[in-house]
Amino acid sequence: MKLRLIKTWNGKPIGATGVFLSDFGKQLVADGIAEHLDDDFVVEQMPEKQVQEAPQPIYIPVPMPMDYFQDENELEKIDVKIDLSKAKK
Amino acid sequence: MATTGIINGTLMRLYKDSTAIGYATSCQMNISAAMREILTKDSAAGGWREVKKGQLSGTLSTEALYAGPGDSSTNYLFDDLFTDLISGTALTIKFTTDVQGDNVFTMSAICTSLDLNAAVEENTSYSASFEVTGAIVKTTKA
Repeated sequence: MKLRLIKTWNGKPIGATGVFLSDFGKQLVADGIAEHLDDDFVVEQMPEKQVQEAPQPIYIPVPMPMDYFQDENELEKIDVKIDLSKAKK
Repeated sequence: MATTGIINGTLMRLYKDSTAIGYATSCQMNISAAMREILTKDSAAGGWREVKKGQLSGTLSTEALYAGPGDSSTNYLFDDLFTDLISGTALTIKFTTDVQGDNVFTMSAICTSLDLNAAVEENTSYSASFEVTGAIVKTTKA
């Protein structure tokens, strides 16, 4: 059974929680040393592994002059010619 | 009322006296009987090995997450077992679900080893082993 100490017991401070065999736990409650906790109370908070998230990229806008973009539409017109007739050495 | 069907392993816990061994993730009890050979020249077994029961023995082990003195739990923790191992104290251990009608295995055992494991970005955990001294007694939880 799950108990919370309301008096110092066995060197453990008030408020400490734990799991005891029910016969012993009932005696602790009867002696006014501990109080009964709900069965759903989580006594042992198991540590969870921290998931390390990948840092998000930060985009910093860089001001560019307009002439940088003037040939932007011309890029689609680039004609790539590959001469496959030449054999590789 | 006794637990029906297969017992959920989460419910089976090791208790030192009446206090649970804390942050346990698994518990094991092993009971074994050593065999003594009784084959003699007079045996009629045609050379086959013959045995009879010898010494009975038991061991316990548990794996648990590690919490230091900063933990406020009243449960029995690594530091307590460390003290017991150094002193060689025989502990009264119960292995049970603590459910009325279920089995309670009671024994006296000495902590024989503690292995503390700490891997990077993992929970610090430990495993403890116990050697049973004397009989393991099976009773039913009243």
